[in-house]
Amino acid sequence: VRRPLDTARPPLAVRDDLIVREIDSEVLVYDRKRHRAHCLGPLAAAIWKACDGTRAVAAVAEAASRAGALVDGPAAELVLRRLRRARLVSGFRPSPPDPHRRALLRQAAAAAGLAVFSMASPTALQAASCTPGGQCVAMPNSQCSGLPCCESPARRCTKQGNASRCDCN
Amino acid sequence: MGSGHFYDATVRTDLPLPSVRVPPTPCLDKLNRVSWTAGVYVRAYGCTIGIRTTDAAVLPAIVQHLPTGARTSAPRGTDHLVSWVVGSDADSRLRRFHILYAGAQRLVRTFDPNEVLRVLAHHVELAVAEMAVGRLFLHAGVVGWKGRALVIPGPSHSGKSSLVAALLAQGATYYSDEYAVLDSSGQVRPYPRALHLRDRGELGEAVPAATLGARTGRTPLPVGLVAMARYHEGSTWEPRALSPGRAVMALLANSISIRKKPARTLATLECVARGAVTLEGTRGEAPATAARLLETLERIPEVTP
Repeated sequence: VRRPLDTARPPLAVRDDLIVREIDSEVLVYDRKRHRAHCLGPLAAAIWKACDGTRAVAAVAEAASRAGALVDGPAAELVLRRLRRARLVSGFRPSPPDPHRRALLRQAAAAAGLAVFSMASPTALQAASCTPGGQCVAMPNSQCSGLPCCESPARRCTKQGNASRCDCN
Repeated sequence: MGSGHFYDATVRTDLPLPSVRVPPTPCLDKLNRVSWTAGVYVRAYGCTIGIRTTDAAVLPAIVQHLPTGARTSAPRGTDHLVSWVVGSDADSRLRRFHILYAGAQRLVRTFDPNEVLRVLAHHVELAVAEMAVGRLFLHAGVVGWKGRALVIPGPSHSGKSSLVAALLAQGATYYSDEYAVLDSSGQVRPYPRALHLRDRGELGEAVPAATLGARTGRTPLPVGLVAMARYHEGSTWEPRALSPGRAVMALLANSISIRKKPARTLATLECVARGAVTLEGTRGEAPATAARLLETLERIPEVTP
């Protein structure tokens, strides 16, 4: 089934179900729905804040620059790609990759302020120390903890081939 | 099982059976129809866990396996319910499994009652860490040094306990080798369970800090240094400093309750990140790293809240 192409709209910062905290020049975002945390570097944070759904990419870069974060259009587009992947902006459709993008990425990587660092937040069991062996073998193989087994931490509670339950391997 | 061969401790077996304050589900309904005969109420860090069983003889063993800071309490509403269907003795002709449930979810099914106790102890400790009221549990080792805390977050098998033991050997005060218990202002409280040191990857005996000649902390401490130190053979401790935002992310990866209480967790971690220096890197042998960490902590100026 062919889906209709999205109509490109100016980028809009997503705010629903998010907890946002500013720490100095960085912004921490916690997505309550997807249980993902994001840390936006200073420039990325300025660009995200400038996404009001009315400004095009160039205008977003300009607005971010007025707020003290000196970024140009290509750098803003790169950050918007990352924010889009993190599901922190909607409406933005990136332009097709151009041959200079690799060089741009290299430049951007050098500028830490453009970073959008994301991670999935752990469940209580994932953040715990280990999984007892007896509990591991009772887990269905789709829910293996992947943690070290308490009795023998060199082994991990993982899926065992096609078996229906996990095991310490 | 009815022989009561585990322990001789006396525990009241006539308390009303625990139940849980959640809407019943078909699975829980089915479990509720089992012939429960005794129960115990466990209270720790503001939350209550009910444990019920089909055989009162196992209650003393359950009480002996309660986690640090937990104690039995009078009957009250419970936040979480654990159920143990007691099986048969290994030498009986008809063998029945021991089955342990958390809510309606099966945690373990085994013929070995000691395995049930291990899983039960681990589960209750984790449940308390997740549901604690007004406290945030981070998976981390903690020691005190000259009025400030050094926190070493990290996953299991990353060498937290051995680094904590090396720090104690250099005169630090013991707070925990498993959880950093933070209050809402970001100060760390003691969680002084016995250290679980490993010998060639296998879990050894639990060793009380006093056996290592260390003092155990009693008062809350502000966090001065957070060291994300992973053990890597042959490495030397050459860490890089993390920005406050990245420090919160690193701490968050070790937080037990982030999914249950994200706003409060982030606020507490922010307090820690603002007041402390966070370093990340790989480390070599524990004694050399411990000495460098203590030197670093001494050089960090105190932050006034």
